Amino acid sequence: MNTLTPLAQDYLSRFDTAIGSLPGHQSSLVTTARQTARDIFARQDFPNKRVEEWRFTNLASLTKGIGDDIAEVPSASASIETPHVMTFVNGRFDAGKSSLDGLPDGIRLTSLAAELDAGNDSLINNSADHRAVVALNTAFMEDGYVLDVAANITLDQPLRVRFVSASGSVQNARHMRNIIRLGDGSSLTLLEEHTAEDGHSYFANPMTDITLEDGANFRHYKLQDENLVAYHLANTDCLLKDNATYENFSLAVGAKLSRNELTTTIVGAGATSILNGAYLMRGQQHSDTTTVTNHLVPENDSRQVYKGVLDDDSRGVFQGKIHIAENAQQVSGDQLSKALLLSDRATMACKPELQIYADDVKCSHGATSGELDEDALFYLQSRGIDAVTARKMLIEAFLADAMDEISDEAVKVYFSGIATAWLQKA
Amino acid sequence: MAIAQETVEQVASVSEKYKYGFVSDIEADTAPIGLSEDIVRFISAKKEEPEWLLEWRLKAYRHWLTMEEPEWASVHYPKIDFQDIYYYSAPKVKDKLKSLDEVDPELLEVYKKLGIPLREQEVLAGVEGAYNVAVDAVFDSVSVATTFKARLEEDGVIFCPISEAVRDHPELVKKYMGSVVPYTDNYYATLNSAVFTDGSFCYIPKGVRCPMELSTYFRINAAQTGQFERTLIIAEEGSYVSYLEGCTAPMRDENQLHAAVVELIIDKDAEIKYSTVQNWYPGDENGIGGIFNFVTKRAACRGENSKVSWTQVETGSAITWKYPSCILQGDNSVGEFYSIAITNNMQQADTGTKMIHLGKNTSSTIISKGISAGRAQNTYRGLVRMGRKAENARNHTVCDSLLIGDKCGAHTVPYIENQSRTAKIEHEATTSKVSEEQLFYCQQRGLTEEESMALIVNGFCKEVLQKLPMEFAVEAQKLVGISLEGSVG
Repeated sequence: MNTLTPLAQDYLSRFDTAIGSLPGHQSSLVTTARQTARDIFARQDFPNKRVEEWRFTNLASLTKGIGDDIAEVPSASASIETPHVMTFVNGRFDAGKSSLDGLPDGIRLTSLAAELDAGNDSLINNSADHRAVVALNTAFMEDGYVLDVAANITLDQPLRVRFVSASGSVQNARHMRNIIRLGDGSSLTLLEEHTAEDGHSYFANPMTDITLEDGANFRHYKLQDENLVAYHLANTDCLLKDNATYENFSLAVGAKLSRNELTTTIVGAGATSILNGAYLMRGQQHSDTTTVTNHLVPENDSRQVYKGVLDDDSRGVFQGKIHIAENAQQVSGDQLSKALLLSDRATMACKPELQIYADDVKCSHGATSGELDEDALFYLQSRGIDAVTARKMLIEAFLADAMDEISDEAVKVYFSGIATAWLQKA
Repeated sequence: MAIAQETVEQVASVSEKYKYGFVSDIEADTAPIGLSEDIVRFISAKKEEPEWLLEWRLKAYRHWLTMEEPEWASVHYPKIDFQDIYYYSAPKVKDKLKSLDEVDPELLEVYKKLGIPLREQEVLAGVEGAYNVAVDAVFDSVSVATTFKARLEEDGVIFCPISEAVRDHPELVKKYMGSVVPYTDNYYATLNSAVFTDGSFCYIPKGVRCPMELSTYFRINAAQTGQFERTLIIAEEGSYVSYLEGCTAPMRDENQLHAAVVELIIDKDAEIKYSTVQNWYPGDENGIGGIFNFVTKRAACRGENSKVSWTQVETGSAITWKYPSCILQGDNSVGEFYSIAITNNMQQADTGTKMIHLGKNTSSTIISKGISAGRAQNTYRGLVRMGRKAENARNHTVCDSLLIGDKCGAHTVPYIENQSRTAKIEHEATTSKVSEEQLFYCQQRGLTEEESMALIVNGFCKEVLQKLPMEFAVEAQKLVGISLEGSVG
């Protein structure tokens, strides 16, 4: 029997004490869910490189215990104005920094801790998820947002949820559990931001559970701009019913080590899953994007475009699996991953995977990795544009393919601004 | 006219069942069943091997005992009982043979059925300039005959069973064997290192273009026998060789294990073209019987401008587990992998390649065509790795899968690792099915449904079939048709 990693030992030794003060501790359902998850985590520990799904992402620097590293506090490089904001500071809902007044009827945006303490424990389904990082989240979840949208509600302005790591934090881990349900035919945009106002190292472990009822249309944008000594391991699961549409765009610029894992499961005809993203890494940063798209029934579509820009010693990982179940006929699944290496030391690992058990399907994936096109650079320079500007133009153009997929105009401008600011720092 | 005749024959043979499924009653010399150090010693003694080789085998065997069977491939099969296999079986020979006439007539009959032109005279009597192939035939555990040796020797080419090479050219074998696939490499390669019984050895000296294609036919005949052959090909500076490999086995309702190791060493400016038509018995339509084909093939492009090309047509075996790889060490070296993998009924294939780019300006091409029918599962699994020093390395990968029927599966699992800024990697994969329109069009022109399917599938595979040497291409095309028999309608 291998010994557990120090961080796992630490968690397990704290569990029995912690459970008494975590939200929902009055509920036997929540307690049972936490205990089951604890056991699953204890059996697996944090994933190491021998676990196939984690072969490219090494958590050793996290699992030996978070150190006292301090990073420069990043300053916001772009801004966005939205009427409704919900803010979590150091993993807890902060009403003072939130403005949730005036939400239309039919839209409820609340804190998970409040819901659980109010006895709304049916939010937590007790299905024993086998993923170690998710199990850890279930065992220790402390707060998060709960978004419940009734049928046929449309909200044009994006809702904004901010997770901020601020100074004065006593605990350096945040296990956020977010639960989203959109009723039949409703349509909504949500912008989720993970940022830091403090330079201490921490471990963010958000888990988001989304259910889209028939005809629901959900645009879900995520900015990961943690400080450069932070760890960010996120899981997002989305269930799509008939004619539902899920659009996700993730922009990652922060964290020392981050993994954004998206699992969409399509159980309805006419549903569409669109996963896009961009990651901009430099220094010693590591970014992992892992997607699993499950087509379980006939007649639906999925598509993905991911773009990565890797400078200095940074590492990029893309793993994308498209699974098409037996009898899930007339399905189309497309995927594209492109990475740009700006430095001789940057590396990229890619594993686009197709798993197909039905014959009447159209599936494709493409993956490329390489440097900027010398000819294009030369062309721009020959038109009087200096080399630095030319490089930036080409990188922006490279990212545009993915950025253009963002259907909310305000978010597109906001994310483009962040990308441009990142490039300016080069 | 001749073409019309050939078409008729091809169409006729499309409707054949697995035609190599016969069993030959040949007296065999067999080692006791099971695996132990004694068996390893027995095999080594039978082969009259030198001490160093026995030691190497024993090291491999002891290492094997510490290893676990790999389970990462997407193939499912009952656990293999390694003690229930005969590790050595050889057609019995009375004294040394003086000529082929003294070979067991049953054996010659087998080769006739396999369509191998084994008799030297027959081939030599052929028309001047006719297509010549030197053949090494491996029957269960031993090589039974090698043709054209004299002609090859004129050019300094050594082509013989590996057991003979151990005897006659120990310095070459000692230098190169295990240098590409070390005995610790993986479970099946290690097992092979311990118990390998025969295989082919080729040595092409500096500057020689091998005057003919070299070919090996592997045949498993005896029941409950595992076949563990080892092939070693060395192409010295500036040389060239084209090597063909064919495999068949009788129909039996048990699973037989085939775990081979192939090592290729390519020096500066040299080229090896390695083609395989793998047609081991695939089992019946219910998945009873068939060969477990767990093979390690690897080529080391050691010198500048060296080139290796793997072409494979995988139609047989109940389970195929095979990743012919290229280590592109030399600057400007080139690796190619062209593959057709066809699975029907209950067959499972997990196959692909590894391209490891280490040198500057190295380039590789991967074209993989997977066809899945019946209840078969077909997986492409490949790795492209650009090392830090692989400046301006290039890779282009195309993986296409074709599905026939709604009970089969096609999977693609590529691993792409890039550590070189200046490297360019492109990967594309598609999965589709044969469209109703295509089938209808062909049937409208008077072809039956099965013929239409064979025609369309051959079109799908054409890119790869064209890479095969001519003789093989014809056989492979027919095989494509036969393998898919019963998959439509």
